[in-house]
Amino acid sequence: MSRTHRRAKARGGAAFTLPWLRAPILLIRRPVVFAAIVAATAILATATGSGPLFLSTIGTASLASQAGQSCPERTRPGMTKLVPPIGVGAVTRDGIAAMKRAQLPDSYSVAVGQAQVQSSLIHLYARSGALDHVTTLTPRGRPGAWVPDTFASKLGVRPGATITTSDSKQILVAGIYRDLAPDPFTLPNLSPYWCAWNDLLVSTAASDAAIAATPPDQRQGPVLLTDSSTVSRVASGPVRVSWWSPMSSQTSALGAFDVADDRADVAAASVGAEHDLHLAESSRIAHTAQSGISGSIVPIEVAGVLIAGLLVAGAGFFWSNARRREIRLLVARGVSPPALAGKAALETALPAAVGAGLGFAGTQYLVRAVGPASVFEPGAPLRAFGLVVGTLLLGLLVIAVIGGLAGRERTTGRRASWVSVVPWELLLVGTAVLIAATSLDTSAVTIDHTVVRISALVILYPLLGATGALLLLGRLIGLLLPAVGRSARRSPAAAFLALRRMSRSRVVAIGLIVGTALPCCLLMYGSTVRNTVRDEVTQKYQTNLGAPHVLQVYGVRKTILDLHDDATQVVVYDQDVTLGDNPNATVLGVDPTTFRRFAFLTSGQRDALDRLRSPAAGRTVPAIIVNGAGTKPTALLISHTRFRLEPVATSAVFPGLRNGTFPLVVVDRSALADVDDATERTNQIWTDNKHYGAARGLIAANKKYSILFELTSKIVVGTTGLLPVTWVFGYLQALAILIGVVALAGLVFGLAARTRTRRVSYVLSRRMGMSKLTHFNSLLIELGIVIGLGWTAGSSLGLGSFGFIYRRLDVYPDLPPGPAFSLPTVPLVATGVVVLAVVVLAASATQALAQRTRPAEILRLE
Amino acid sequence: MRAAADLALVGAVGVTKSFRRGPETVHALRGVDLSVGAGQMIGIAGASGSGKSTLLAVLCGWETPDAGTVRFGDGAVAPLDLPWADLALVPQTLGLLDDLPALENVLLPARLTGRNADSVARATELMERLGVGHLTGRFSDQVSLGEQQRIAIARALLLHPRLLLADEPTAHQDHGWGDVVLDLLREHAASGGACILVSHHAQALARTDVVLHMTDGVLA
Repeated sequence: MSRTHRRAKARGGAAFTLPWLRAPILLIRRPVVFAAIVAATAILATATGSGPLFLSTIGTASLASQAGQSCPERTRPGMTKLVPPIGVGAVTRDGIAAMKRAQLPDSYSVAVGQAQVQSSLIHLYARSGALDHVTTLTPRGRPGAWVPDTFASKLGVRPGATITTSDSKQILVAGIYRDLAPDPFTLPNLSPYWCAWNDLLVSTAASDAAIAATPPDQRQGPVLLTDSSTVSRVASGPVRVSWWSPMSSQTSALGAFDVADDRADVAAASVGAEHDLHLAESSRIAHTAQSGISGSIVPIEVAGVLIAGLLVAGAGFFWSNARRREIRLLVARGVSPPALAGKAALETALPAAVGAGLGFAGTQYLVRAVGPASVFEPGAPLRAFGLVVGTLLLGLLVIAVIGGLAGRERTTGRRASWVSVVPWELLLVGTAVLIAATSLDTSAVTIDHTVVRISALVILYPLLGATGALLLLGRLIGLLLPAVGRSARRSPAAAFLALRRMSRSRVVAIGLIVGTALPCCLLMYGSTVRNTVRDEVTQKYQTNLGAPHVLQVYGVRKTILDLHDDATQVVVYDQDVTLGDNPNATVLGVDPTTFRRFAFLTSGQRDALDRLRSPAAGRTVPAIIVNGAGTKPTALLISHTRFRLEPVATSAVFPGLRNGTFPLVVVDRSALADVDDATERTNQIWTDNKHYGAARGLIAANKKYSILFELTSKIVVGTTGLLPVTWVFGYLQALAILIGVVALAGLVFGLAARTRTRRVSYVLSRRMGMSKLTHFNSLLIELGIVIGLGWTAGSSLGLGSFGFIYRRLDVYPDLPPGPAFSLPTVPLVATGVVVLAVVVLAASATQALAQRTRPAEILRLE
Repeated sequence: MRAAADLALVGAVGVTKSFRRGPETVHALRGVDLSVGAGQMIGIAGASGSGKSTLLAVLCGWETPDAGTVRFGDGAVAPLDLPWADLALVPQTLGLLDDLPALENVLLPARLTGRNADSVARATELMERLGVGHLTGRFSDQVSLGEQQRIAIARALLLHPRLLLADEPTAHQDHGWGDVVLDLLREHAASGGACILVSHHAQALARTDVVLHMTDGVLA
């Protein structure tokens, strides 16, 4: 009896020496196998756990996005109450107490009252810390109210002075701060701290247009920053008191916001206040985004798990290969396949658990670091953990099955069964085609309450189709490879060796081709969808807006402004305009010389613009006809003025085309001089970012004109959230990269293993006259062909899949132009460079490994 | 056979080689002198671990002796740089390329030196002689170990090497095929080539001109 055995028996008997107790630690002595199983199960856990964690961040990210786009206070749980001035202090305290009772601690309040000072309505604003969010122009420390500099100047008051309201109440001036009224008059220029108070800072601030339409002397309702007791004492009518809980999407998940909003509702009911509904609306949009994405994420996640499962199966084969001698011995001694399966599961359980743990922890870190948001819904990690444990058990089952099958006798020369001959992958391709065909008439993206929803079919069909097509390609290549090998006889040595290796190692070659093609395909597909939607929105925005800045000017009439080359003036007729027999046309009168400097023009549109010129009297007017298919584009009627047009170019889109349904006529502005003065027209100033300030200055300097409003991208394309597109296809790209890494790891391990088993051949081939260069070249050719073919097939398939659906990716079908297929040059070049680098590095590494062989060792049998 | 090294095809003088194996120093070769002339077939016998494989490695140039010299011909070319036509090898591990069918394996030395077209007839003839002529399209995992060994011997003989080092070339052969292999090696020597044959088989050693015994690194 061995010493170990005796020691074990002394500790507790034979139970301690039983195989099922020793098995779990056996692999510690095989660090490479241990590491392979840890890595495979870590990737499996990452693929499994990432789905629920990723999905749980979507709602929070959507909420954060909305808060970022609009205002943090619009996504905070809160309530509001109008109270008589005398009760402000008590009501404020009651509200804070109610919020606290409703488990919304640290809530804050804002009290806003009004009073009349001379001809101005003033706002009295009481909020703790408000002074920290303005630029104070005088020292702090005095009691009283802080007055904006514009109003202080108007009244001629300084700190220490007193302002008397129309009902004779006194306000002590504590200091002067810089006016908060935004300049230029666009709401986004307001600091987020004040964004919930637009209506105070700009009295009619429903929109930028409304701001601009308000006469400047009435535009600002001066906001005096003070305390609640002053508000209570001075306010001449009801005071609006609001309470909020200072929640942030950086630290709280959407679910926590929903709970807090319910609590705010309870608090509001308890004090007779109105529950603030902004958060409820934002939350509804966030939930819509989340549910819209989950349908798209699930197939991607399932694909990720299946692919990671293949890797686990590979690790299982690695284990069985490492244990092959022992397995043969055990089989020879009558050990059954189920017992071998148990051995495999027991031996790999420890590294698999370690890998799953690492993968789960890594997934949490990764999703927090690079996912849409950094906080998870409370139950999400537990759900993810449950799934990870489930797939871990499945992974162990896979390894066990492989272990059990490892003892099977292999018969050589056996005919392939019909199961392996039937091209099952055609089922995948057929299903994909069916899905694509049945969904041809439906839009791939829809907008649900400003949130873009992506049809799950758009994800499912390329995943199925690409996988099926690549497997089919692999089968075809498998059939062709023997002929390729035979044809290599007349090739130079390097090509001969490479082609022979490929044809003989068909599984390896096909695995490499498909392993390279699949990530390239998914990456290209995901990148193209993301790029196309982004480009499409940019092009719509650029087409519809026309230039980086478009200012609608009031008071110009038919005057041509002197804009000092800082902008171009565009005249728009969109009322009472008939082109041919279409009564809904728009005319754009431009100065071709300056227009080309500021408008978003393509080179084709520039060429068309060059053909516009001022017509001679009584001659036809050269015109660019935009979106005018089906229109007879020779007769133009603007109100009562008729023009004969000479179409010099036609175009589907042109800067300034704001509606995809009606035609647009672009002419030289001077050609429109005869249009009746009474005809409705709009004067616009188009400029770029560089000249924007100067252009505004020019208009401001001329008292006859004023800016009516500025057209912005929000006005044109709305505020639809495109983030779901980014998230879904970002996830798909992440999956593609994961597969790429797995394929790369497989390539490296595979080449290393192959090189080790062929070192005798390498040494003897060198002796026979094979130069190092020939060997290296043969590796380059072999890897170049298989990986290059994989890259080409995958990229083509990704782009081809996209080609089927891109016309259905129109986020805003009413706005021209429609989506255009644009080659994703950057991902294409980047993956090409990576593929090239992988080929060269893998060939170099394999060469280096082969050269490390000590020739003398091959003379001794292993 | 010992002879003046300068008259020999290959000559080793005072070759010593030792290895570190943990704390222990293994003296694989101790002052080995060997000279083989063209047309000679030398047999080397010895127990396992006596230094036979180390001697072959030194003669190939794969191991550098700690002391002594190895010369091939006039010494103009170092053993390591000798082409297959000068020095061919049949190791115990055989070293057939898994990706190539038998004929392509035999032809590989010719292909790698640009003499493929000229060598097909000889390769076919050798394979026929060695009883593997019907296996030209088979890969190594589709033939028996003995057949693989005969394919490796055909490959070694393809370019009429001036020196053939054969490590246990009949280890996997039955009596009949063992004789065929030895006949071929003898013919090779008869045609002017030299052959060093390492073997445990008395039948094989009996066919050599001289049998040398290796004992603890000493060749006698």
